[in-house]
Amino acid sequence: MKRPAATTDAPVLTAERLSVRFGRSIALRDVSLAIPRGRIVSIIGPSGCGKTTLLRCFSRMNELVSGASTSGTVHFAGTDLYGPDIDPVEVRRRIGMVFQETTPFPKSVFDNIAFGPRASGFAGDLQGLVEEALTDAGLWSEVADDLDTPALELSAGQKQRLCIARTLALKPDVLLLDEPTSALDPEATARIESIIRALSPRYTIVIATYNRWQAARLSDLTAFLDRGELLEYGLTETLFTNPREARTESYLTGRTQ
Amino acid sequence: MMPQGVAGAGTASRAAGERLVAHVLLACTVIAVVTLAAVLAVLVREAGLFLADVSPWRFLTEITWAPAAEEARFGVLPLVVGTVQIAVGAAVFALPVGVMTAVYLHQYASRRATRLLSGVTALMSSVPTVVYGLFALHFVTPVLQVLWPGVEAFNALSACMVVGLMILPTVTVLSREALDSVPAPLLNAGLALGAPKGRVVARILLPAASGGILAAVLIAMARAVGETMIVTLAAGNESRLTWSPFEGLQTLTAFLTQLGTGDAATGTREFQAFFAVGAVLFVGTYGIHMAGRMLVSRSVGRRGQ
Amino acid sequence: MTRPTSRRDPIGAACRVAALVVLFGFLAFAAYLGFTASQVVGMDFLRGASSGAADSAGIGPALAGTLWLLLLTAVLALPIGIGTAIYLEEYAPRTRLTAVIESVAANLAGIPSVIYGIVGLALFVRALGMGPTILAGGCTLAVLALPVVIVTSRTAIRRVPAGLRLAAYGLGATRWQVVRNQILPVAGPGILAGCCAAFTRTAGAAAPLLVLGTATFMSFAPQTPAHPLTSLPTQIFSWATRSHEGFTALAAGAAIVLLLLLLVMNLVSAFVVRRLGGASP
Repeated sequence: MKRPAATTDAPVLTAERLSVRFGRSIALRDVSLAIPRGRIVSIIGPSGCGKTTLLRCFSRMNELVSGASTSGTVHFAGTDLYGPDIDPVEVRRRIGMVFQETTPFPKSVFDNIAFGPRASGFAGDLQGLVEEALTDAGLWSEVADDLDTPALELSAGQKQRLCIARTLALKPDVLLLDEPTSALDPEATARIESIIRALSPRYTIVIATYNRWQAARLSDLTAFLDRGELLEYGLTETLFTNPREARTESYLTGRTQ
Repeated sequence: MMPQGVAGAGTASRAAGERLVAHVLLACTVIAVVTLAAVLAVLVREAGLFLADVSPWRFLTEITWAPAAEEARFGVLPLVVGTVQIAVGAAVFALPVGVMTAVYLHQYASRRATRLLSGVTALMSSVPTVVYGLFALHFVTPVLQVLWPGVEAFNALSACMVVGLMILPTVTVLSREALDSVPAPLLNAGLALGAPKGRVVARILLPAASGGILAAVLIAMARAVGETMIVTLAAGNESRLTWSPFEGLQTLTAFLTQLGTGDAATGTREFQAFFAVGAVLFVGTYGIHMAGRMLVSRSVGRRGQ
Repeated sequence: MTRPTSRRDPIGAACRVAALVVLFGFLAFAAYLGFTASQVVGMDFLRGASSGAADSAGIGPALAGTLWLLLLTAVLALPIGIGTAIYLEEYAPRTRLTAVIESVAANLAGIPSVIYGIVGLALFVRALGMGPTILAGGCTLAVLALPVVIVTSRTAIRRVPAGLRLAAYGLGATRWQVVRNQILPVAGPGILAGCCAAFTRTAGAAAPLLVLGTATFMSFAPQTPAHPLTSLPTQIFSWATRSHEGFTALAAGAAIVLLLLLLVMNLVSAFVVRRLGGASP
């Protein structure tokens, strides 16, 4: 059962007047929203509305794209992520992101999971960390026998869970999932969704999804983006049953597809 | 401060290492850019000094090239004509054979024949051109002299044939790539209509790949224009305007090799003349390359629509 | 394809003939080279110094010169070329300047090698006072190889799927960690193959060295890069220009040695590429 979500919960991520341009085109316009700790937040909207861009703002991934410029602020546990003395690499270690395109590294399962911890100089029990991450991502039982299996030999659903486990191994505070199931069949999708639910009390999770019903099934809060603007943000139930904006309603009922 | 996750100690030293690597890579780039810029600068400067002395008009229109003569003449035309003659002559040999071999590989060859021919073209393309030059001077020319007694020891025909042999792999490989990029359904549609294979090749395959094949031809021609050792060895190094393939001639590239054997001192007009010729050669090959690249992008663009 | 079809297909028949012409041209070339060279092959030929007398000459100094030149080219062009490619692809912002650098490098990779010779003469032999030495030759060949190394390495790096980069950055990897752990392992075989192509081009280059001024008679093998310039390709050229038949045989023998050297280089590179490719499926 979903816990009652109140937007007055202590926010872990707060975006204020966030705008992103790529060259001359504006991908995100003046977006302000707060992500409460421990909740699942969905970002929905038609394709090209800026879902991915918003998600990438939280882990400072946009600046890897040539010609991108970001204005506004994102606060994470009281720190401005875009502050002058903040290392984006450090941000990405704290706020993990799983990308739409499933991209296991061409290495073994173990090396895939261990990549993040190794990169950040982890000196503890790597074996244990890998097992924990794989268990949390629901993949441990399937790969425990042979962690040396090349990751590229896994099935599509396993690959996506591997990518989630890879991020969990960093023990991030926030998990950003960009279209986590867009390339998967219904069965694998259900699997991923149940894993996301199981992770939810421990991690704050933000999901960008084109799939409205996935947002309705999973999230406590939902944000509706359209053409780079945040039109509506609130409890998922409220947004789906009683949207404030006409454009939200027409999107949810499928009239603008 | 942000909460810590799995991050271990030593972040500061790693950041220093990270900066060091970035600086080393930047230094590499600066060295590379300065070096390549210096190449262009030397060429442009010396050629510029030459053209300040000898007017561009005289350089491009006079028909005698004798830079080391007592009364030096600087008409580059014989070298340009010689270069074009060799390149066109080589193309006459290499184009039909190369393109048809590509069609053979694409349409007719068995797997074994494909492997054999691919191996042969790969070997041929890695042979240094001075070795081809040896073959031209000491095998092809004597054979030609047996066939036609009028053939001189240094002659354009032998150079053309062997330059053609040298560019054959380029023509074949690039043409085959052009053929491979023709969508298979197009051919199958033709075959399904009952057209004989040869007709499909002539009416569908070759026209569809024509842009890519033309680009292959241009790239091969650029190589022929820049070819030095074969023409120096086989066609000799005497500048003259002639239409007889049995006589020797001098190309832009062959002339440039004489800088090593001559004694043109830095700063003299004779020395600068080499750079003016180098600049002509540079502009020529550059132009052919650009044309080839434009053709490739245009034919790709058309297919994309 | 069955025989009757080809009889009704004049274009197919013509294509077959063309393929046979290619094969024949190659065989004539190979047979000439092998037959001519067979007169000189032996250990004396490999070790012997170049000499005015055809029957006692060898390729010792020229072979040593070519190995020196390859070493110098590798030391100078590879780190700088690959470093430049990594910097331009992974570090530098995409600006007009990087676009200009890229197009200049691509065009310089295609210009005739003899042009590098005249520039090398003006720059290394004369302006920098190196004289016609192995060092000047190595520098010239390194400049010749540099654009090729840059262009092929950039192409190989660019072929690495963008998703790998993103995923690694998303996991908090630094730039160099991304390059070392994700980009280079995947792009490595392509970079190596490109470098090998550059090396094949420089190892066989005669024209630029000829322009620098080469020593055609050398009684002992070069010990240092300060030694007068000599190499297999220029030695072949100088022997080829002599009309005495003994020298032609020497040139053919030296050509075979040069071809074998290139073949070994290419085979080793192909082997390493396959090993690298196999290690990371």
